[in-house]
Amino acid sequence: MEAYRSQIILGSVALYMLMCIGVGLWAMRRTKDAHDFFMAGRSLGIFVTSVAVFSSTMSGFGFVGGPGLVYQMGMSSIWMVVCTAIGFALSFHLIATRIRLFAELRDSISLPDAVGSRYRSRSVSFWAAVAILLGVIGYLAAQIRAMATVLKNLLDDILGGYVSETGVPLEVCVAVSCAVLVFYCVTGGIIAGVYTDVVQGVMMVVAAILVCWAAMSAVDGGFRGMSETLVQDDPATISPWGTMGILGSLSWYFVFALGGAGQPHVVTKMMMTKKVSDIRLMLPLSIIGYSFTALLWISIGLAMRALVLQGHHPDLVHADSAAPQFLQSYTNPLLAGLVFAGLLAAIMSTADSFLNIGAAAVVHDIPRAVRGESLGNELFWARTATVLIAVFASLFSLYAGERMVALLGAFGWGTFAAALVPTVAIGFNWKRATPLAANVAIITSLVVNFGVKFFQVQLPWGFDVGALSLLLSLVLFVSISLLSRTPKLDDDIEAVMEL
Amino acid sequence: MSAERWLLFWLLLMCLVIGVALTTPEPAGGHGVPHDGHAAMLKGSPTPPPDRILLLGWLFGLTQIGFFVTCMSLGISHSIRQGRGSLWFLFGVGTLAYAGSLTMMSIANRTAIRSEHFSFLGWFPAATSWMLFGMWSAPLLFVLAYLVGFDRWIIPPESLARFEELVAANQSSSSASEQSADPD
Repeated sequence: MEAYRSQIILGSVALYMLMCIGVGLWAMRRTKDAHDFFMAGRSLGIFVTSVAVFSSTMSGFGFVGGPGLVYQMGMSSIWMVVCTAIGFALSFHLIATRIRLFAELRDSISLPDAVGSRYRSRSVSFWAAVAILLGVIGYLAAQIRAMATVLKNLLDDILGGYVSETGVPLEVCVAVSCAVLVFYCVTGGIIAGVYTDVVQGVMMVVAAILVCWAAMSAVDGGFRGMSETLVQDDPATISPWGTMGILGSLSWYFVFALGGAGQPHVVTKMMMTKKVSDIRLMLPLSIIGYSFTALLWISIGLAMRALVLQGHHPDLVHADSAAPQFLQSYTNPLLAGLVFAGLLAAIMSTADSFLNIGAAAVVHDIPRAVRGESLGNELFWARTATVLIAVFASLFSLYAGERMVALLGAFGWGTFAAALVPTVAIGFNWKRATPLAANVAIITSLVVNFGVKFFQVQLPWGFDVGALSLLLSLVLFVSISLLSRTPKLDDDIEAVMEL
Repeated sequence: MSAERWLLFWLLLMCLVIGVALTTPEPAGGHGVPHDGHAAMLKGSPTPPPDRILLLGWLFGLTQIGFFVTCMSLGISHSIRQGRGSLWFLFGVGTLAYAGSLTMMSIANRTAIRSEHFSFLGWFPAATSWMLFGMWSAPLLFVLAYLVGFDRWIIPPESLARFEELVAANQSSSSASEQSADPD
């Protein structure tokens, strides 16, 4: 079986991609209008929505970047996953019910739609859509590049020698992986997105549990053995603050715990449940699913660091190769195939959500904010916008240069958190929050996050810039609202906020 | 004091703590240095963190917990008048468990750094076990509150009934306006 490792892995990935295409074809028959395309007809059950919520939250970053960060800096990055329980608890207490009520009350089909209704303001809706669109392009470009890189590594193993000295061109890998993604997103919209999320989420959980077992078996003494090796080399690495220190670690905790309530691709899924009461069970299910997938993040990073320190594995040149090298060296080929497919699943489950909310911003939110109505024949334009956004993000990922991709990629989590946590998470629960405060919070988030990344500002003690920008936008939002006169709300919106 | 003013209180306190921390001079390599034997690894700072930074970090963690709990209280149904006692009890126990885990982790970590003795609690050093099993799981009490109290504290049946009325009223007014716009 070892002799066919590359073929088994590639076969698993091909099977997975065929499954995505099948789901897209199935979902196409259920997608009849823009409401289905963006909101899945608000008909999703508890299990489907829960898996879609956690699998969209765990992106390719968690499956590749996460283990790499643990390998590089020890426990510091684990604060991004230790916040799972409080992060989901915050999101559900603050948003899940409220956004679902708004969605049904006003028949909203996107987050900026609901924001516009809540604040009775087109400008807030416009800025929310702009922040989402910018974040989507950056995040999507980073996901597409990651997806193509994984595919290139797999294809090079088998075809590299036959193609050219540099292996299969990255452009070909971008085209192949994007074609599958775009196919099911265009044909089936968010219905295809959430049902592929279910398969992807289950694959991610199974893969993470098996990999955690493999990691414990690869190092003598399991986790205890890894810990002892790390303590002997550098105790700071396995201490709670890792190499980053207390302030850097806790700043990540702040951004990732609270920031979940501002991720549009996740919040939008909460608008799609069939019944409001379904939300109750979604909270524990999402936490359980995400916690299991996080096992991969922790176990591979610690195991690879211990194996390299013990001299059982050659030194890594790049920390991000910790996960691929572990899978190549310490897992059964069938498990490696499942995990590589799970890795693509993690990337695609996030990317399809971004494509969908990006299309909603272009076709529905921005036109409505600017001219008071969305485009005619919304379903056709939504499909067209999905293709155009994917093409633009692909070209951007290939030709904009790594710095530009990283720059806009950094717009992702931190910018969404700083822009949308005050506006949505706090504002949807607080009648006194004003449109001015919401606009200031969103614009502050864009300016601070982009500015700091562009000028490469670094804060002392490893303090995360995203945490500072979130704190700043929260302070401005609450202060401006408290200093302003109580805004006038529409009667139905006010009534829902009093429930 | 209203929940929103508590939010502002926690935010300003957090700004103060972070402001003091960020103006405290950081020694070279204060947040990690390259590993001398392995290219892609970092090591902890060669200088142990001063007590002032450890204290400020602990305070930063406490203010976060205060802020998070206040945020979650915003999501409690505004219409409930009775039965809040058991909710606040669960929230109180959850907050104590959460802040207690942070404190135990901080104490265990400081003791280990100063004594250079890393006692184990299960698979990991004691402080790390507090992080992984305490900080991760303590907030599950808020999840429990959500799960058992959904019908009482998050969206009671009478609120859902009121919501259905609002939706019905909106639908009838929108169909009426469509009919008036279309004389045929």
